[in-house]
Amino acid sequence: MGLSGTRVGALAAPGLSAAALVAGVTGGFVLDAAAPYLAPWDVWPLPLVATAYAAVAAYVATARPRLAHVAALLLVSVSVAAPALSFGLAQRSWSWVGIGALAALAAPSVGWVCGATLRGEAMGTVPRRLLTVAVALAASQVVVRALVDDPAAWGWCRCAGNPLALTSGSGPFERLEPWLAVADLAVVGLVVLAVGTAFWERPGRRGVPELALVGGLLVAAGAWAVADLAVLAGRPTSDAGPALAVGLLVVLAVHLAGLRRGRPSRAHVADLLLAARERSDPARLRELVARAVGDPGAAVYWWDRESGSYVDHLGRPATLAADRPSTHVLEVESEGRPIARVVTERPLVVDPGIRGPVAEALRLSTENRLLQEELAASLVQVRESRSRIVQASDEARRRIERDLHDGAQQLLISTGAKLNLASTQVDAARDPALADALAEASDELGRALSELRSLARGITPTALVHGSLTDALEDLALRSPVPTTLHVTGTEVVPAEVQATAYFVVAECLANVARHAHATTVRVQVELGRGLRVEVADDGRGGAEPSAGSGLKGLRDRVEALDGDLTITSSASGTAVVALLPNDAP
Amino acid sequence: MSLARPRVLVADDAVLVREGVVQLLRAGGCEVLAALEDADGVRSALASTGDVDALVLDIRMPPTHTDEGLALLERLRADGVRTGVLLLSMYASPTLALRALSAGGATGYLLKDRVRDGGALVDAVRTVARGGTVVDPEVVALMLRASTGASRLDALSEREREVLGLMAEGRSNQGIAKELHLAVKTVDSHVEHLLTKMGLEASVDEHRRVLAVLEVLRALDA
Repeated sequence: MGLSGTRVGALAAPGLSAAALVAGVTGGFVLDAAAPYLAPWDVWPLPLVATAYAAVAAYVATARPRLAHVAALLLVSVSVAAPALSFGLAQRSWSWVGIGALAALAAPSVGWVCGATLRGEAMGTVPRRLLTVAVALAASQVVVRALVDDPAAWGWCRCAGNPLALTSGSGPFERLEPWLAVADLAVVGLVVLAVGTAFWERPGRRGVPELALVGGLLVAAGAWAVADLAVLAGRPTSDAGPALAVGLLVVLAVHLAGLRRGRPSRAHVADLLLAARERSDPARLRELVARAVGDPGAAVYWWDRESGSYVDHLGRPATLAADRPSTHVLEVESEGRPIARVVTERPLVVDPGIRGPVAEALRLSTENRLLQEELAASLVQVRESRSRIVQASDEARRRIERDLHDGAQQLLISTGAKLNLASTQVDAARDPALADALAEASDELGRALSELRSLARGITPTALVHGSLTDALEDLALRSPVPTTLHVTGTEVVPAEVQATAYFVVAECLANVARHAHATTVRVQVELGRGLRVEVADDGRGGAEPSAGSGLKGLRDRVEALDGDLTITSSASGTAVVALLPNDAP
Repeated sequence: MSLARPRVLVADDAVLVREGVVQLLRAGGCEVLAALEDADGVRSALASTGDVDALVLDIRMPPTHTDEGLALLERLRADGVRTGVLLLSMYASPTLALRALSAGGATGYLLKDRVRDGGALVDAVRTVARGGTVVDPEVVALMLRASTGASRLDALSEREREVLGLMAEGRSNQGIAKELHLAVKTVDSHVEHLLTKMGLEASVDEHRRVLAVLEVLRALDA
């Protein structure tokens, strides 16, 4: 059974359908006329089954023109109708013997249909090999029968003689007939084995349709086996006809349902387009592509710009793509750049109305993904640059504070020391004016130093320079004019920027409480959990507006620069500010 | 120990301040054995000079300009060195003061601003050289304000708090009397009362005063 894809003209379908119908009905009439001693249920079922298979073959030829598939269905049709046709033709043409012999091909061709239903046309190695052996065995039966069967010559019937017959007497045929029955049993056994394996190896669900299919095949196989055993027993029978027909119709029904389900369709393409617009993962997209092109084994490889190669939905390099013929590959490009490649297990012959949208969906999803990646990258950049700005401003603050200490403050202090030394050398009794002037200068110097200290304190959390965040927060709480309780846990391991930010949050909030809240107590709670949680809550009159004061706004900028989050809740019973700071800030 | 003329080592990396401090100490009757730039200098000077009554250390010195002076104090105390140490700081930080005093007695924490009042600087040096404790008035003010509601200080009257604050600054009873315009005997009685209230009765007087100050500081920790 070759797998080369050949397109059977769509025009052939109506013709095939009509021909099958005519053949079936004619076969039935001929059979009826030729054997009036047979009951109707012995006459009609098989021609009808043959007609049904031929009709499905015609449908497949239109919807999914695949030679192997159409051929297998037609072969079932022909081989099932073969005994009836042979019967009808017996008196008119010598071909009746050959046609009758074709019946041996029924089992393998039904097996192929079952296997393709369960596993797709590729079917898997073991079922395919078993079926190949069955076909070979069946074909050899056909040849043997055609060469030795000549009932007219032996006087068994008044029918056309077989010009191909090599033997003159009935002896060889009589000796061969049981062996032919045994071979036929073997063919049936191989077919059952092949379908059983396909059923077992089926990757997807094994539900009611699959069980029905196997059941149908077993019924048909049983019917064939009964016929073969009857031959072996020397009493040929056609009683198994109705059972065979039922089994084969069940198989066909399941096959047809599977065809409709697995058929490439606009609905599947619509699903794919939707999934591409939303942000679907590559595995899901692959599944939808496979459904849209009607090949469950279809693989999708995405072009990876970094490595300059195709990778699969798990990011692994594409290894399969290279050795497939071009008929199995759909290349998707955008503005000359590769986007993706769909590689199928069988030739990808689908409706251009599906092929185009599939490519478009892959293009869309890739462009979406690239846009999202760019967005994410620029978000990271923004975050990093915000964080750098905060770090730079902290560094600048530290430098200014240090310059104040090393420069102005040092000068003022040494000036103070000199003033003091000078004042000790002035005799206050003799020169009270000078003594007063010196004392006044010293006082002013003291105020200058005091102001300088508070200036420096506002510039940078000086206590952080010397000690822990806890120390720094304690100093803040001590300076707060509103009584402040402080609970700090686990802040030692927090990065410097986070500590500084926590400090600024508490400092700004305590300053706000003192200025606006009319509170009687403030509670400051700093805890290290998954991040650092800083809460400042007062019992004041509320009314804190994040947009109103630049203080809270600046605080929010600072917190968000570290990818943290600042929440302000303010009501008549007080204000609570909660900052959540990630512990792994850049 | 000749406290009439305490022998002092000074360390500050800022040249102008260092010179100012040295001049003030000399003018105040101290003997400045050496003026140094960093903590390592202090350690080697201590090792070679031996008999030192007090160290005057800048908190912030090379190499990191953070808390070298404080760290040196803690190392010295850990090594069992009981020499008086006066830390000079740019920051009115109760937590730094607490850390300094927690290292052990004979310790002072003074803002550098006080350098323009030579008398206060020299007094502080003499106090730590004697084994006493000194805390800058501004720091004490912060601590007392914050200690409102703190356990053992609750029982103190307003006046007793005032006295305790001045004790923490390292003043003697005479000094406190002068500051508050009270009779020395009144101050004595206040001190006795507040120490009793704080549960610091049976102990050597000087030590009790230190404990009282530590209590104030610990109250902040609670």
